[in-house]
Amino acid sequence: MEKEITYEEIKEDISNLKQQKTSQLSLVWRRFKENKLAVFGIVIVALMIGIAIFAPIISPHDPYETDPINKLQKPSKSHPLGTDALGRDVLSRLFYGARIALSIGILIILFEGFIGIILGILAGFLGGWIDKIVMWLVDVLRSFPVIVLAMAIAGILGQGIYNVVIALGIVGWTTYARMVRSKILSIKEADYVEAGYAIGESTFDVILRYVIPNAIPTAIIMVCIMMPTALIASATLSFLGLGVQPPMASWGSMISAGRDYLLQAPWISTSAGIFIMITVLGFNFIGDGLRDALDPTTNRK
Amino acid sequence: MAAIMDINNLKVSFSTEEGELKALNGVNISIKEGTFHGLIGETGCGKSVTGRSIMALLDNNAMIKEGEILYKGENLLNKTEKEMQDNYRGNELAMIFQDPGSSLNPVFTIENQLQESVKMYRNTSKSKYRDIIIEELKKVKLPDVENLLEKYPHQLSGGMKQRVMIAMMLACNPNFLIADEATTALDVSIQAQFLKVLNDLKEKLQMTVLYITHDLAVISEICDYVSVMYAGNIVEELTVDELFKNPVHPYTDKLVHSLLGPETQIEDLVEIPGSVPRLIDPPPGCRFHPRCEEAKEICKKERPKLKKIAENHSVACHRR
Repeated sequence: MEKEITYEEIKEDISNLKQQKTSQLSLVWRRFKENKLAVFGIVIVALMIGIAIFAPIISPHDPYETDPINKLQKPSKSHPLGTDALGRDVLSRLFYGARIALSIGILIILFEGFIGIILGILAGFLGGWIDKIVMWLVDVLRSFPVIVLAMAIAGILGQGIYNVVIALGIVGWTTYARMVRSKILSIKEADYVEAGYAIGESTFDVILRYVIPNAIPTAIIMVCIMMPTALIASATLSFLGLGVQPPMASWGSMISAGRDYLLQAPWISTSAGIFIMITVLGFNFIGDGLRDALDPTTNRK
Repeated sequence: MAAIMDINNLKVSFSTEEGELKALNGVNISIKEGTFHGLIGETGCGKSVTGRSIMALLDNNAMIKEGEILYKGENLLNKTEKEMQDNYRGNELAMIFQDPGSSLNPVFTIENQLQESVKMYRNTSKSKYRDIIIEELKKVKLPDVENLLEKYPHQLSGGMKQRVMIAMMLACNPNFLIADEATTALDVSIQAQFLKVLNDLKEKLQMTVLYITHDLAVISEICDYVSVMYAGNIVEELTVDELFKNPVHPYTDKLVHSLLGPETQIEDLVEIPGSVPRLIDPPPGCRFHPRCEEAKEICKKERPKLKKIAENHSVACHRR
């Protein structure tokens, strides 16, 4: 009886090929949904993105408007998270800070991911001297403490959002390159790649149909796992005064600015710290959930 | 029947850290069109290397030293990679690999796997792909095919995957199929199903198959001719009937008598002393002589050539 029902369902599917394409995605989504923490992560990240987009609407005050008379005020009705040393509303600055944090994070990920994934694929698939050079570069770059190297580069390039992206990108691509390369190496040796050659696929088709699709889950998961690192690193640079320029609202520089008033007005640093923590946590949860959901060979109960 | 493939004096070496490994030392095989040709021998004797040489899918450290692989009169060894890929792999030659589990692309559904073969080798419109795929899957006797199309390889059993693999290769419409240890990874009942499928296809499709295995029982079921391989040499080429009735080479003889049957007593089993020689420094002369009870002086010095001793029966042994 049960079999007949499935058969009917399948028949319906056959008549509608487009429907099946979405069913693959929905399979991933179904697995993802089962992971409560991952869904929680999505909620957090969606909330942050919403805050970033609608910052001008939802902010109670202008984040740049100084008000020396009301400086270092305690959280109150008009200033839910108090004010900072210049009397600016902390909550509004946090909302605007989300814009900076997320856009820097995404830019870093795109920049370092692009370099790292392409170099990783080239090194892994072609091997030989390209592999040697890329891996040598990776080893050299990774022998420095990440943040020190990024500080040095940011120091040379000067302050500014794009320089933060470049500094952290130059340091960060190595992780991608390494992961992607090792993934490609194992895929390259897989029997299904050989089977692909055996049915007469060209090398280009093999890369396109066999190597890259099998490496994509790794890349996606990596992006989600690297996002928190990028957020923290950019906040660190801002904290150290090498990142986003002072009047701009960034979480890192807010922690730094609130440091001097930690006892009088702990809400400045703490609230910015909590925002960073929550966002990072959200991305981490998503990364974990995606790792489980994207792997087609994960055993399901 | 004319020979569709003639492998003459094929020598293949691998460069390894320990030196040159002479995997194939002058292999001669003649495969007649429309037959199932078995290639049998111990592990490491060069069976798979032979198969891969035909497909030009050898690893990078392999060197083809000498010889020719004539397929329909054309020497495949003279073809460029591009020609092999455009004109031979897939459209003329196909290969089934040993491990069905890892030979299917894990990120594609069964339908997607087969679609590529169909797209490349069947000149039909996109709307017909699915029909052809279903037809190919039915050819290998897979149950509930419609349901199967949307499944991923890891959702299938080993036997089903192996059949999908065959269907994928058959969808290319090859004339010549190489099955490399295609049943080794399967359990016995699935092996039986697989052999039935192959036997069925043999009658229907008139395909030529080179069946690589170390399982004599499988050979006896489906093959017409057999080449026996030892340490990179073909030692005997004969029909399957002859193989069991009248094996001439001492190695073939031992091999046949090491076969387990339901009646066999442990004491009756013949053991071949020693093991396959290291191919980096193989013994001179006949490579089997250190393990051969009947070895003579000449066996230690001179390599025996494959001689025809009867219709469809050649052997490489000084003693005969």
